[in-house]
Amino acid sequence: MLNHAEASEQFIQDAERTTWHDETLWFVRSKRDKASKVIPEWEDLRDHASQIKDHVLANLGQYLIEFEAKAKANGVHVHWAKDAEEHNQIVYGLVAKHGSKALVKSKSMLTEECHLNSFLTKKGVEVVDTDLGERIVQFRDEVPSHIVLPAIHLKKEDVGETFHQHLGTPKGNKDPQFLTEAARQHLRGYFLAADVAITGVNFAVAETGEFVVCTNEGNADMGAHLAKVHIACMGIEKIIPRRKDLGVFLRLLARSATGQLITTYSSHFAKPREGQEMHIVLVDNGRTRQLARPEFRNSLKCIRCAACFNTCPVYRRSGGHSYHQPVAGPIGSILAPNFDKKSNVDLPFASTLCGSCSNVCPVKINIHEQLWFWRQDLMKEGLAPAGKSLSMKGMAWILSHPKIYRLAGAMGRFVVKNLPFLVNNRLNPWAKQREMPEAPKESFQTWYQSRKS
Amino acid sequence: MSTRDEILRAIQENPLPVKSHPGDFQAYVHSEDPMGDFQASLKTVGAQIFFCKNGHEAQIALDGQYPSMVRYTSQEVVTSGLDLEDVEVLEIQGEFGVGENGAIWLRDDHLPHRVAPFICQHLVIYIRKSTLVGTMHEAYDRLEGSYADFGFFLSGPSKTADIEQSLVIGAHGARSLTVLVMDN
Amino acid sequence: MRVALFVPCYVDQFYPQVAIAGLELLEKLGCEVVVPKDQTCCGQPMANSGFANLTGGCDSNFSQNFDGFDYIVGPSGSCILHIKEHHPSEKIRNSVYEICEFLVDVLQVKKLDARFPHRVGLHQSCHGQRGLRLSSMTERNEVPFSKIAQLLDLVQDLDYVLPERADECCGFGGTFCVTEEAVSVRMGQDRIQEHLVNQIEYVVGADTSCLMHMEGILRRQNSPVQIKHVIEILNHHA
Repeated sequence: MLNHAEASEQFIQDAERTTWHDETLWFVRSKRDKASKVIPEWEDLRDHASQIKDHVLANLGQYLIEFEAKAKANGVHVHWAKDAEEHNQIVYGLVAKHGSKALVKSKSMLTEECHLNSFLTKKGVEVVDTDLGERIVQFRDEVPSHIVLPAIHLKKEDVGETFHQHLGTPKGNKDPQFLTEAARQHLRGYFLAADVAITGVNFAVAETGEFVVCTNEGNADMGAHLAKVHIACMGIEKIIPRRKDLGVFLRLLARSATGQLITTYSSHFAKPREGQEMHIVLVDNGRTRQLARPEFRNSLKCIRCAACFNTCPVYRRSGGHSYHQPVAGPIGSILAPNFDKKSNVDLPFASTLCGSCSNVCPVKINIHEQLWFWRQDLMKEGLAPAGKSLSMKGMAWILSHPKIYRLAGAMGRFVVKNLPFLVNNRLNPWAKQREMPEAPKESFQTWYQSRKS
Repeated sequence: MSTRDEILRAIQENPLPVKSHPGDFQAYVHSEDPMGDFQASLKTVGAQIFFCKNGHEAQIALDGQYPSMVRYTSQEVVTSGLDLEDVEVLEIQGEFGVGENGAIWLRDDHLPHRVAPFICQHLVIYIRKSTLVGTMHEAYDRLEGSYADFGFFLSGPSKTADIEQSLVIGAHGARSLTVLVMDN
Repeated sequence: MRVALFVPCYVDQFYPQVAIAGLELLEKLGCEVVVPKDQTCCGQPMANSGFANLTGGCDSNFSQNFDGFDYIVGPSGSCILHIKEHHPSEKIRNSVYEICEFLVDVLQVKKLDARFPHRVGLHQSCHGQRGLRLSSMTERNEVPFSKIAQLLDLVQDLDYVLPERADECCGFGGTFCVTEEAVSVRMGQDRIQEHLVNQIEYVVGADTSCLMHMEGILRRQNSPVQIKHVIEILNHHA
């Protein structure tokens, strides 16, 4: 597996596509700016949402118990899963019980996190992703590169070719309208035939036991309202205390995500319809572990709007797949080390710490600060690349000893070859595409001392 | 120990500092013209809006919008959503509208089937002028104490921009939305 | 007013003219400027690389040089932010100022004897802008302000312009500029391109490190466009 830097380098080789990717996502960010700026109370809303989420995290157990009781009273079956494996087993158990061989699934980052698709496929169950973007990447045997815009790494030519191969659309047709219509016809057949529908959950309301699913396409509803069994999968952090709190979150979610006023559909599922079975799977999968880490706890406030993706200058120029995680971007980079430190050690470093992410976040997660904290944590664990800690120690030593620092500077400017940020790199990557700064004839301190005398 | 108890214990093992719920959001700006907002929002989300004094005017508007299409107006419950597969135009009653985003609250006891407003090709929603509220906060104030087994906010026709961010109307749900605002 | 000038290591070694301009300007404005001789580095390169545990030596060296000063002023938003957020001494954390911030908030400079008859592109560096709040940011719904623009407005014949993306990162990012070389350079190229379409002669900013990165790219492109620290412009006459 390539690390983030290596994968990004590959991505960037296609300069034109990188430009397109950057500009397209920047446009989404601009729409978000516009949508947020017509609301004078926007910053207060963010603050309020953040406080609600802080309150939830401080009372998570209590709210989960309340939610479970209310949901059960509504006639919904509630399941608990400690990890991805248990989640997948629960879902499979329900599918198998109903003898289903195929199911429709709307977008759920949790099921991506749990790798549900490959699990079910191995068991002989066909999983049909019904979100257009997800269907596209599923056809291509890829994973989403963005949690809101799953196929944003692809151009319409790519989609045209994929649909030609899988849906028999005419070769060369790349018209988005035409291709979307083809997907509509194709997926409608699955909606009408499916016994089981899986959806994600955007918000689960403890007060009422209902859960809210937001889409623009209507795919979650098409699936859930036609199937005999509806399984909703959610991370335990998706709880909110009261229905009224939805007013705050629904105002923030779509505006932050795409600059829309609200998603087309914000569906509140309380009870199964006559004759239907409704299940909720509450999944931990590392969330209680993250909850116990004070520096990283509030990453669990995330409502998956992806505003931090769209604003991130690194994400826009490296593509979602360079993060090698179901959730990419800045938020993914602070969630990933919680799952596995070693394989995600590169992600907290895939940032300039510019801080834009924290300032678009609708629930005010201090993303860039958490990136910094993860760096400390991972290096403390000894996960530094070979040579890095040694050179860091060397640099720290020189910089702690003014006389040696001056000597090093005077002796041909140790800095020229060993700028603080260049140590640890034998082949100087600075100079690959940049000129080195020109060394002046004397340092400031030398100039200053001679001026004084 | 059950998974449930294991998870709950893991949470309780690390008691966090008390953080109180901030309460209702009070800082919102009250709209002076929810109807004007609603109209503008519907335009943004790609819906048609007509103001009608009576049923007759509504019919004329719909005849213009959906000429020679069959309109499904029954609210009678159907047991299988599949029976609605071929509905071209569905007419339903919305409970209230929200100015800031063009959303309309719909509940399943006013629908022939939960899937009806999704599976139809085109959707028509009647709402009463007097029901409009400004923001989502007022919307949830209004919903306080009113529980639907299934209810949803709908804002515009189904859409997607998953191919190159090109907006396409008519993803999986209704291809068009017409809102008829009725005088009280 | 007694002011200690903090000259970050790479400014000392590579951009002495920036520190000289800072020193001269502060003196012109009536400050008694002290330059502690044994200062080196704020420790940020280690800390941002995940080795904050190794910055003890830098921290104590910083303290030895700057203890007792009420105003510690430096021409680098990023280094100042690091001290402000991570230095163990509360007194020091509360006494450090980025130089533009110091001119506006403490000295409350209302006029300057400065002239710079050129068209320049203003680069807003992230740590100064978002970290130290030198200016409002496009992410937030807030009343626009800019301490740097406030100062540039005092310079005669200066024409400054913001790029279309007014506050996008240039991609320097400390060690990021080498560990993520490809993205870093691409970000820098994109920033520069946005400046160049504005027909500017200089890229100016309040963080020398970002400028150094962009200068490296400009020079590789054989561009005649140069970089300057804001303070050099504020100290410029003629």
